[in-house]
Amino acid sequence: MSLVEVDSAVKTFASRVRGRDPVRALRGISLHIEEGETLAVIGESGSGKSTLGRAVLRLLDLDEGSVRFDGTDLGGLSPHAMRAMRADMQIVFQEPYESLNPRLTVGGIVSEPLEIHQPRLKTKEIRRQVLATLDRVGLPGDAARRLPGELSGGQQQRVGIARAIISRPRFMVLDEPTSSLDLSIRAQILALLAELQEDYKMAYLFVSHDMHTVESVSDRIAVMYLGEIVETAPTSQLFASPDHPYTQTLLSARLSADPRERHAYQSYAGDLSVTSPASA
Amino acid sequence: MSDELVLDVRNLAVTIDTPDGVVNPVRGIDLQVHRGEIVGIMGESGCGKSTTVKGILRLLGPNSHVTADTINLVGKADLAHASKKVMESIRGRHIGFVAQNPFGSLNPIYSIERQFYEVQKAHKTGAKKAESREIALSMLKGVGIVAPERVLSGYAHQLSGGMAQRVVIALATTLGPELLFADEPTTGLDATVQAQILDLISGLVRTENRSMVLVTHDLGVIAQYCQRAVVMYQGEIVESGDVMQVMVNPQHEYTKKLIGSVPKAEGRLNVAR
Repeated sequence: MSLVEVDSAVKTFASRVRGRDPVRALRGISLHIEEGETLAVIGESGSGKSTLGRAVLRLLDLDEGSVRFDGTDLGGLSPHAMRAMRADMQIVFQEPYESLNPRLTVGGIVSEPLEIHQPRLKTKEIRRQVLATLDRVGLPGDAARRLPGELSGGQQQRVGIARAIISRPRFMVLDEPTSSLDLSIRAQILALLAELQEDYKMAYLFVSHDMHTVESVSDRIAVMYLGEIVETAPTSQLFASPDHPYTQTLLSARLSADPRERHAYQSYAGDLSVTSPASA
Repeated sequence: MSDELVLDVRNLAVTIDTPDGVVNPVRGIDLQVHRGEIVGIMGESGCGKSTTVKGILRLLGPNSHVTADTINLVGKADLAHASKKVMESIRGRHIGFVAQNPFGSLNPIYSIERQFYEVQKAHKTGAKKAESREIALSMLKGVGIVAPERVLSGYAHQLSGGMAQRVVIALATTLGPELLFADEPTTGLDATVQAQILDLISGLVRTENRSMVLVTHDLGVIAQYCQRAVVMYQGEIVESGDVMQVMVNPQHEYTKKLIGSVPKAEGRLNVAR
């Protein structure tokens, strides 16, 4: 049994524009994630990768199909039981600032999961754990008294990570966690996530559009295109011998930072005309 | 690339008056662009790369001051000392500008066709509406838009990000400027769209022997599309040279650190914090 098992997930959104076809964000997705493993989901805008990340955590309900976490069907859980389950499954978002309450101090933000999941914990113990967690993600102790707006983007993302790991989850969805960060900060955050995974034996679902990033972080990669997974393969295999034409296109669009490696973009039938899930 | 200089910037600095005093986001910038080459300016947020470009184009706000020994747009004018009127005649005709956000460049309430006509009017080319339409159609075809008639009669909000950026490139090159500035032209676009757009603009530069200054934080864009690279850090140029040399054999500590930060396939990342 895998830690996370998604079976034939379907999710359709009504279009915001009247008269336009509904958006089929997930069109029968199946995947599994093992304990301690990183599965990357790569795709372009509108491919459904973020919807998948949310569905896996039951932040939105599926139309069809199921998500099992540690053998439990999340769709069948009561709100109360689902809430208890959330201590084990967390998320880090793309925009660190947008995902933090601007009116709460960093200490308040990071302590919230503890207050929810372990309501009997003494204030002193909460404080101890918050400071230890801030230290673990590389933030100074006095950050606890600061507001998110006083921190840099990289520090804000560390706060988002601290909030996610303080309940010691076994599984995290990382939804483009480094996409809005500068290159040198990005490298630091990716290194931190790798260390934490090692220390706490967490499984990651790493949602990204960046081939360079997923190549460096993932064990396996699932390629999404218009609501479907067109190919799943171990990372080195996917890069060495991509099977699906769309994967080949994605790989050809990678721009190496080494000018000695030349790229030649090869287009895919879909390209500009068919990148919207509504028109597919 | 030839030895013919198109742009020669010497000792450019920008100062900005703020309520907390004067800041100097950009200092001592020397930048030379030759005919037929693409020069990449790279650096992280806040390093001054966009301010440098806006300073050269004199597009900064009234609380900013640009000083330079010269900003020589060779054969045209010294932009460091050009009047507002001269600048307006140069921007669009001799220098094109493509910004990061195409929807910020396009007018939301004018049809695309009208925006092409505005370019003709602003530069008093004498082109009538029908002629402007013909030019616009061929420009849009040139940037790979399959149904240019439909795009012309439509508005910016009806376009995808990639399509909108193609329209902006077509607008910026309508009057055939010899020099194009592109400030993060593909940031925020999907990788496949990015490759198509960059192939398109570098192709325009190559086939018509124009020149381009490409500002980006993406080292892949620099390595794959530029002939020369300029590295900026904290408002100054710390290293510049041939792309092969800068990217493969960087000299400055900051450049080395930046290139070392690119995620690599070999094993998990191991970066000192």
